[in-house]
Amino acid sequence: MSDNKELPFWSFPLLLGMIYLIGGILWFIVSFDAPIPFPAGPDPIGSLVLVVVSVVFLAGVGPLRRKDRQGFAYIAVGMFLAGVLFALQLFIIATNFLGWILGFEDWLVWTLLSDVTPTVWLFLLALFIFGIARAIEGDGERGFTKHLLGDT
Amino acid sequence: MTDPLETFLPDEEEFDDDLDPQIVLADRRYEIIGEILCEVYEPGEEKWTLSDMLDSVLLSRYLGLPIFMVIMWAMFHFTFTASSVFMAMIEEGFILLGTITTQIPVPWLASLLTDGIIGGVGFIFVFLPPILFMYLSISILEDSGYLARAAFVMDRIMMKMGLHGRSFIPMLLGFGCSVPAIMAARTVDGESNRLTTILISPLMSCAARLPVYVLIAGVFFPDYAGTMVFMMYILGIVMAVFMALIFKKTILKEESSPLIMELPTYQTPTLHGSIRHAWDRGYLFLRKAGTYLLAGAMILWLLANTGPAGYGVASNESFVGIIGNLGAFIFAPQGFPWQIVAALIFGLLAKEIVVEAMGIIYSVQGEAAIGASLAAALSPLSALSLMVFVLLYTPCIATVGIIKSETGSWRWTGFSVAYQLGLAYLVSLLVVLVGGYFFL
Repeated sequence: MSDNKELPFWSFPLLLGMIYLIGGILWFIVSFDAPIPFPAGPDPIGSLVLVVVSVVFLAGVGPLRRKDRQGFAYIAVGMFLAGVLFALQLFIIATNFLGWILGFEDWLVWTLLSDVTPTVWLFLLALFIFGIARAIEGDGERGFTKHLLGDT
Repeated sequence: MTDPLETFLPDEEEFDDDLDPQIVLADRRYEIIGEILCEVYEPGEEKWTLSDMLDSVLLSRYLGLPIFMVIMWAMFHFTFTASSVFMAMIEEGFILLGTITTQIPVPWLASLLTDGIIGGVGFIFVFLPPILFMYLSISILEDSGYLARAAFVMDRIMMKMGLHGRSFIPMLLGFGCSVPAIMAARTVDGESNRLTTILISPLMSCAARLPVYVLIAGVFFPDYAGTMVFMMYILGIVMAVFMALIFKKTILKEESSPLIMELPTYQTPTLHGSIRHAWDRGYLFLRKAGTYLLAGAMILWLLANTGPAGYGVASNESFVGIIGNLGAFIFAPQGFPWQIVAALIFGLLAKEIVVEAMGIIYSVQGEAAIGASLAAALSPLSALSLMVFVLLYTPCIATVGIIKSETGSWRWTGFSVAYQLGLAYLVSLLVVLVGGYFFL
């Protein structure tokens, strides 16, 4: 594991978990008509899904603080879940775009922004943070990829 | 080195009455594997494979179930939302076809083709995309190795509740069709455990119910349609576990045994394999629509257009109207009009017929037109109650047949049908009563 004293590696799952947690909580509150500026329509279940993703990330903090490689598993599964939600939302955007192009009645008022849910921009943010984490940890002998894919 | 095969079979005294023979055999199998490994394998540095790593989180005691729920929700949200545009395409095609068939100069033939075949079977075809998308998702989960983990995650919860863990595999199959799910109950040990599995498997939401959910959720809960469909599937699991618990505590008492399964390693699903699985399922649906449902649509059209007074009577005086009105008073508390009651009665033959019948009885074509008819006939609460009733009542005549065949008893078959109808009625009534108390 990295010996970087300025920014311990466990701070990355903590950061990832916190942004998903805050995003999920705000989305949940907005889903019940709270007057908070938040770029998403109401979706209470969707917001709870973000909270679950955040819990997965946060569960990795403890093991990483103990320098237990188990923590990497939580980051990997968290990123995987966030990535799946992102990819599915992209597919949904593509199909809705198709409906808009074809001029179907239900898609006449469709806009791209209405489909850019927190699952999309939170994942892009998470990807950026994950990229920084990987850059710091490196892909060497004890790097992130080694931990994720095993020593095989 | 001793011959492992000589020592493989456990001694007779090892088969204690309190132990499941399968556990004894599994223990011995892994003992032998261990012995062989000790002799031929030199342990090196500890290895941590990708499968081990994923399992440590996906099978986690606390996170396993929430992650399973997230994946399920994502699947249904994707299924509903992504398929909408393809449904609209098919619908536009049938509406176009309908405008042509209405021009046929023979009125009864025009009505049969437009209201009966296009309004009935054509409308059913509209639901092919969500079925394909759902099976594509299930196939990806299955091929990746996650579905076996889902059974493992659920097994732990079921065992905690004193239920038979092995029952969850047939229950998972029930997401596709209740018939193979009930047949898969053969793998469950013990007569009582097997019967419990047979009785609860039909409560898992099969593919045939999906068109009803998609239609109603799309009309009454457009902003949460995917979530509503997901909730129906979760309610099916919850009700199945709940009923299993009741059966185990009352009429089908038997000790539960643990689930022993070897989890496959994770694999990347192939696009070809996943599409092939989804298409196989879609083809079955198309074949059913082109045969049984087509015949059903023609019979339904005849019954909806003829009555004791002959052909061309008003719909509420037709045979379908008479049948629907006979049962309408029973469903008055749920707020179901006779048209819906008639559709539910015909739905006993196959769940797809519920949607088909709505198209024929309301004499309209297309999701939007049927949606408008439903919106005028039902309140959102009644619509939710209808979804719950469709989820819980007897899936189809084929399921009843397979229950008879697997139990070999008319008594258990009758009990299965009766308890499902009773449960569906009670829970749908509860939805209206509780929902009415809180939201009206």
